[in-house]
Amino acid sequence: MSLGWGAEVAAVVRKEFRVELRGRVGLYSTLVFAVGAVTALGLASVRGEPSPSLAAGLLWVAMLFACVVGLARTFLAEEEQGTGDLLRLIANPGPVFWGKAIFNFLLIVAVAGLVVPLFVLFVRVQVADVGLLVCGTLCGCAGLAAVLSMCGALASRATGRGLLTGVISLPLLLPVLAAGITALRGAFGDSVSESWGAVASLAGMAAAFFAIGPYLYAAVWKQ
Amino acid sequence: MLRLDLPSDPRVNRVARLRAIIIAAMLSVSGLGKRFGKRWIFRRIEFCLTPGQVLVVTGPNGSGKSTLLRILAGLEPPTGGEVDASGAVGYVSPELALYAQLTGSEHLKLASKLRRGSQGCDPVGALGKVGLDSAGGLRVGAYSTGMKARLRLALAVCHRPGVLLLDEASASLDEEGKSLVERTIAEQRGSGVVVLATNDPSERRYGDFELRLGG
Repeated sequence: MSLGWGAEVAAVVRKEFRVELRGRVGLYSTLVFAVGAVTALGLASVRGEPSPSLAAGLLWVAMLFACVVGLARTFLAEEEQGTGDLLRLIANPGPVFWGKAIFNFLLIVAVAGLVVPLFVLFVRVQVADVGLLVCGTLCGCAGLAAVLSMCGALASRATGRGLLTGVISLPLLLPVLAAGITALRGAFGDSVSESWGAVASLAGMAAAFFAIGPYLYAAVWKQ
Repeated sequence: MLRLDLPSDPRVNRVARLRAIIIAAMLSVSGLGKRFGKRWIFRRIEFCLTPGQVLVVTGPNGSGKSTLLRILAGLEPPTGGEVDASGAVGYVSPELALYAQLTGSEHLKLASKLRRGSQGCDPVGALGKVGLDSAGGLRVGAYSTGMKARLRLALAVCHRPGVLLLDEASASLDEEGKSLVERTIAEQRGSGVVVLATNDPSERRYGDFELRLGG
């Protein structure tokens, strides 16, 4: 990886932010899902605080709902809007994948920055370990961003790409969600012993999916 | 079938002359074919362009002109045959979508950051060259069809490509825009080759050779 490579990735990240912040299509749907899901969960838990296990599950459901539309869209929108050809003319697949994946990660972290405090506030769940909550959330966000980036990249040139992304991402999202729930269960007051291990698993899964993604994207880049 | 431009010295034998052309070629195509389903759009296309040459591709709608240029640009795989382009490729097509949320200037800056192995691009100079200097800060969503066509041209030539592929480059341009395309082709002759696909009979005059598809 050279400085030139880093500049290429940074250029793609900047492009993604400009397109997203000015277009606001994915951003608005993500925010609506995020606030809507957390509000619904808050209303559902008016009569009592959920158990740590249930709270962790509900939080990841809210995060998944908020992000699943926006994240895969980063790759799919290029083909749907026809700008994929422009990228293929001027860029190489590696920096494009990494630029989009980093954008996805930053977007999901920003969503988490909104969803997690709202969730704690509305659902009135007790945070027993703030460090574990932050690390678990960050690693879980990395896992979600990695899976959805990789699947979006893989399906980007296929017919029926939206459906295909959903189908191929589901089996990969399940272990990420399971580890994410285990990680946050400890943060919400359950036994902490398994939770740090789950955080490490999340980091490992994220690293693996981020590492595979560029190769898959390169394989479908000019098909 | 395309004529090859052979050096005129009769003392040089034909094989040696062909070899010299292939070595000097900026764009060589051999046995190129494209099939959609069972229908061949074109097949066995062969040509070789050396610096300074312009090939005009003509033919009725659906004859595969745009498909041929997409293959030459590396945007689509051929069913058979090979394309060998030396140097960077610039490509203009009305079908090439731009980012509506980015400005013209941002498009050129993005391209100059992402392109590898090509000469640098001066976004301000490139916009001025295509008459968009005052519109460089506007988002492309606010551009007219003709302004988008000019921006595509700027994106294609900004990095001074060896091979310039123009697919209906003048289609949505006014008279001034058409003379801009003519100037671009003339400039490209000094450093590379041009392949121009057109339905406009008046543009056949730009070519040193003509490749008629579907005929």
